[in-house]
Amino acid sequence: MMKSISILIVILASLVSVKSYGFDEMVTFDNPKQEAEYRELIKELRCPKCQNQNIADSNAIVAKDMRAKALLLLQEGKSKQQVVDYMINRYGQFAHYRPPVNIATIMLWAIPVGFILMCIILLWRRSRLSTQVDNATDTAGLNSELDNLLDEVSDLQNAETTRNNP
Amino acid sequence: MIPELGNFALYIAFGFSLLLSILPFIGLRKSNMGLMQTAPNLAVGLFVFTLFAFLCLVFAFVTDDFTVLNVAQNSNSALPVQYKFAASFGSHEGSFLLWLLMQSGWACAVAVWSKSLPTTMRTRVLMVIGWICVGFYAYIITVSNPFDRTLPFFPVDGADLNPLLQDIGMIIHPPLLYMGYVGMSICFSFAIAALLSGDLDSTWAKWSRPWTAVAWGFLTLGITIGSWWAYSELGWGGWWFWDPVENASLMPWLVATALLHSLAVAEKRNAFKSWTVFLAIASFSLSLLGTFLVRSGVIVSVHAFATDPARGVFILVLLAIVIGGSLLLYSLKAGLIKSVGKFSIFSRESSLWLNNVFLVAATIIVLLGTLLPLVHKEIGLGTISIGEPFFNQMFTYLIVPFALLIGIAPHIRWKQDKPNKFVATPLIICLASVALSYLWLVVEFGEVKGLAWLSTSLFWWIILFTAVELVKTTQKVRLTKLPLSHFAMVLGHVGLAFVIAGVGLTSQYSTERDVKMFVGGSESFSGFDFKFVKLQDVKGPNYDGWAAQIDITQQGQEVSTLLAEKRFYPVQRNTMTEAAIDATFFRDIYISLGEQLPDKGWALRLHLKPYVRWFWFGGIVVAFAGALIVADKRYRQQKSSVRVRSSAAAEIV
Repeated sequence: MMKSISILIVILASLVSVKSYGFDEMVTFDNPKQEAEYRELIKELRCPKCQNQNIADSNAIVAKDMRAKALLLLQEGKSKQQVVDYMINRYGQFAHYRPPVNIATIMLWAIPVGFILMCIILLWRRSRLSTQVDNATDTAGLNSELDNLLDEVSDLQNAETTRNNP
Repeated sequence: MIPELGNFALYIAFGFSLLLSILPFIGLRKSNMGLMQTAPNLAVGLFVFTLFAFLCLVFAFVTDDFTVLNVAQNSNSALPVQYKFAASFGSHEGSFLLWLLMQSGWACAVAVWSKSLPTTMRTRVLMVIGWICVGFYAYIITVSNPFDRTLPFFPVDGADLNPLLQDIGMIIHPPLLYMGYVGMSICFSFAIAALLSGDLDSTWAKWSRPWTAVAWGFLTLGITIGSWWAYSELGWGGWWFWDPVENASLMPWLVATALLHSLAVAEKRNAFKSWTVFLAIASFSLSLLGTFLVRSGVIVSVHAFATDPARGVFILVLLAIVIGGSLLLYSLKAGLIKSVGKFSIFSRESSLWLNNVFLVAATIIVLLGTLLPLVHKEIGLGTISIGEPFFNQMFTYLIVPFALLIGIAPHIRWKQDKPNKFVATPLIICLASVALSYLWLVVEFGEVKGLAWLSTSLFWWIILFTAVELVKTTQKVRLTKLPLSHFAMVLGHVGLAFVIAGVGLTSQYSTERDVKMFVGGSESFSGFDFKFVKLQDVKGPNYDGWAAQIDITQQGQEVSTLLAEKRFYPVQRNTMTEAAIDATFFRDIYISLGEQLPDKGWALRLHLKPYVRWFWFGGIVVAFAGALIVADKRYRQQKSSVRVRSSAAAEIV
């Protein structure tokens, strides 16, 4: 037990997770579109028995089964989505790397979008306030020109002193 | 004997960290100069003893001292010596000691290279580092000691290092990554020190910027090398999987990138100061959260957490103290921070604000995507997986406005600019980018795929805008006189452009095929001919295996001869695929050897990966930008001018 824990830790200690990898089935496709769909599918479907591995990279028996089934369904003329639905029906939502949309997972999209919107409103409000202040004194344009000039001068001076004191 | 010395050195280092957290504190309270000046010496002492402990552990590994539990579990007498060295930080305990080595090394660096800081500030920063160290050292000596013995019944040989880790990547990647993670604690310490003193003028941004740049550079390099290592070692041709372990390293990188940009605003324009402090706290908190959660096994599997409750609880408490404490301090003091710099909606400040918004939004996406499956299961909604399709989609949406901004932002003036100046040039560059990339894809691949077109257009957009900016600037200032930090910006942006193009092209145009080949047989694939010349036995120092020699030709011209290996490591009973790669700047041919089939043929997987190198090339270029920021002499000068100013201020007081 101790050893298996330590192996687990070794693996976690690096950026790499264990992906034992093997393939011994030869797959052939009817057409390039089918191949493309198959490759996408096996990257998006998760091996239910492995730690964190898609079925393309796993050589677990269940992953092999899933690959074969995915190909079979595609050859029967099923669409990519139909194959995904079949796998989810059979192995649960866990088997697909794209999360379902429900009351909890809606946060995945809502929070980032809300955050971006909130920040843009904040920026708008804050900058509007400061333009008002600047406009009141009517020196905004002049000030920024002056600031940029000062920036350039100080950069130049820095470069100059740097050159003189290497 | 040596491990006991190492153990002893660790305890002494713990003592030093205790002193470092207490003595300067008393010194600051009582304005006792003598006590304050102990801080740099204590930091150096901390580093010396930690280094000694680390060397003792390396010695134990190199000399195969299997009476040490850590060595027995992670090394083997047949392991080549460079991997014995790498094994010393291959385990949880060992990697933690490496973490401490880096932590004390950074503390030592601050002690040595920050003499120009006012004494009180320097003391405060070192004191905060001391507080962090107390937690870490306490952790290692109580629940994660790398020197624990197996005595009296020690094994005759060790359990070996996981074969996946027996790679050059293991030797260079963890130290680089840890330099980055731990380096975030330095920006954190600067921020906390500034909050404690209440002295939050823009000088602290000036002081912490070079440190942040170094840490960020290491983190960039660490992630890049990690991705390359995964690609070359795992044998399935992938270079990024959105694994929790990868996400853990990406989150602090995203926040640190935001921090680097917002530090520039805080330093130059006296704006975003409270936000910058928050980012400094967040970057280190995320380093901690990511590494520790993953390392304790909370994310990957809830059960691993329960196997060693002591460690898990310790980590959680440590996290709570660091994150909770710093956020509490922040909420108390942030109100005092006044950002006086004013700017209008169309200004450099605004564009840098948007940069920060996108980067933090990306962090939120990664954080949610990593943690939500755990929550989802705990609240009884069942298990879900969040992986590549979700992250790829979200990052594609984010990268478009982000890349557009990268192109245009350096042209916008500080404080206020006129939007109508930005019509003609962007329009021309936009058209040029779209047309150039269309031509590129048609000529090279004969077919234009949407996402690839998008990514190459963004690539040209950034490259062209950066070039225009450089030309415009050199009309005002001679190229040789431009400050190095300006080149850092150029390199950083160009590097990212390469990453974007590389990701887009390789994800859209990579092809792979599984083939069955007999010795002597040939296959054609993507314009290349592969000939299976022979199968030879391979005898490594601690493995056996086969190597398939594959000659690659293109229209009769010889391209390369590759050896794709299959290795068997007897100690751990692991079979490993060693992929063979023929790499050029524009494409990789990647071959992995599979199983032998019942009819004596061999399964081989052939990959053609165009532009995959651009991802790592871009990453290295970006990392180099960090080095340029530090090399900028401006910081040394500003430090000395700050000293003059602060001593003048002291006189006034």
